[in-house]
Amino acid sequence: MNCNDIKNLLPEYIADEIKGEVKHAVDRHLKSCAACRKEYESLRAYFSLTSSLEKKKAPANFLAELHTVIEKKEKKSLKHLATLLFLPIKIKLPLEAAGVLAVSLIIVFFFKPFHFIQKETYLVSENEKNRAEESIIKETLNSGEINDAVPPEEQKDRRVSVKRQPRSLRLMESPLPPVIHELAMEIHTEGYAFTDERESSENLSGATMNRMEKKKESYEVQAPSKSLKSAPVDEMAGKDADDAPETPYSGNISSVRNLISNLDGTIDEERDETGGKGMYYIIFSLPSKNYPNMVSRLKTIGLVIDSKQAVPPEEETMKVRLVIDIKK
Amino acid sequence: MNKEKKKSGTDDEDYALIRKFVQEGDMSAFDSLVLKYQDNVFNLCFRMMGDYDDARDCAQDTFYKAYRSLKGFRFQSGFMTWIYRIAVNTCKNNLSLSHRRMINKSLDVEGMETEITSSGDTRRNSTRPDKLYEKKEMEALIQKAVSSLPEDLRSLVILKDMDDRTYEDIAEILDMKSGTVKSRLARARQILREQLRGMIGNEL
Repeated sequence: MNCNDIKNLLPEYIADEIKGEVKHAVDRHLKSCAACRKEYESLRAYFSLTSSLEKKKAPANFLAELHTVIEKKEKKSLKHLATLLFLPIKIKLPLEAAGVLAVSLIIVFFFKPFHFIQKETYLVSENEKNRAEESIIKETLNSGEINDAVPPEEQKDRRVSVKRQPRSLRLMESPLPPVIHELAMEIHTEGYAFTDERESSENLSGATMNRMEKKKESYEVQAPSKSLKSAPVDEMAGKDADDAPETPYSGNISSVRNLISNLDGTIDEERDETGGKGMYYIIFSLPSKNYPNMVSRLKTIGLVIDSKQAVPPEEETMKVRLVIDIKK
Repeated sequence: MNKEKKKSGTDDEDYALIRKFVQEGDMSAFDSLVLKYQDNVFNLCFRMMGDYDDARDCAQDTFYKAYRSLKGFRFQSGFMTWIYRIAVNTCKNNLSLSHRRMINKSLDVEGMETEITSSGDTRRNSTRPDKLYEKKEMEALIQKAVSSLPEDLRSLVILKDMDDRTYEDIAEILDMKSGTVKSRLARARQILREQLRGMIGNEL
């Protein structure tokens, strides 16, 4: 062992923690090495000093004082929390109120948490909503019919206002036909028709319209001939729709009902407003695969304008909803 | 690596008291822990701070922190090691905050007389007054030398040479390796011996 090794062992040697051969080796080295012996004496004196230091004891009332400290600090931490949250009231309360308001607005704007309220309202007044929607649609179209001077931009604005139904309403299977999944059509004896796909409406102007558009395709629409003679629906049954002669509408509403029933349709709503110079409405749904057939057969009783307007939706299983206004 | 160490009987007693305090909210269990370790903690704080009042504040702060954090005690080390670690860190924080160093403080030997009296120390006083004065003066000089050390070296000297902790305990308290403890301790001792050369000479 060299001097460095011995110096490293000296603390344990002085503390008598080294035994056996190592201890003897240190003993021998210290006897022969004056420098290490000096180091040993110095370190021993140092240990003698540090170990002689008195161990300080805690004050007699330390525990009682500690209890007071704990109590004070616990109260202080609560007070500090209150200070952080509310004080000074003049500054923090308005700021916090503004923050809460801002967060509420953000939540309402992005997450629309009150949609369920709209749903409730909607479901309760389904019929009223239906009527309101129809009147809006009519108003939109009539405005184009009555006043051609209305600028197209304005017409477009009105159209947009009709289109803007809340997204949630569409998702909740509202009584109004959703734009994408169903094709709704009103058929009027007055000679105009429109689909529920409002983008086509701007090209339609009441009795003079002759073109419907669905997506990028367009379909010719003709006004019904007022000279057509009526023919019973039953007689027309089984005939090819394209070959069926155009006959005037007989005014027999039961024939329309039979026709709907024969094609697996269901009448959603029937409304007689003829008393107030209005129309007789039949709103019904039927499987989309029967839609072309329905259009053809309606044509035979003078209600449908042209079979080319038969625009079934892509999926056959979906229901098509038709609205027929019959002016008696 | 599992740092769990061998449990001693003292550890078991301490663990039982901790569980009683944490699980049952038994304040008397906490008080028992305080009474058991208050002198060790106070002495450590006194050597670290070099001032009686500061030591009392630090010791109380240490036990208050323990009171707040005992719920998170993981029973992987002894309570004493744990409370020592809190005490050393509390002292270091207070020293940093107040920028107080004993080396800049004039040592008041009469003040130390007061400290001992106020601490309720009833130790034998058979020594002659001049001898007593000499001993207190010597203690003050040693404390001054210790306080002049950097904080990390100071805590090493106090824990090993004045409190006789093992290298393993010190390594755990100061969160350093045993080898580092030994090498830094050697450096700290060297500095102290140089500062206390006169006294060591007298001892010789």
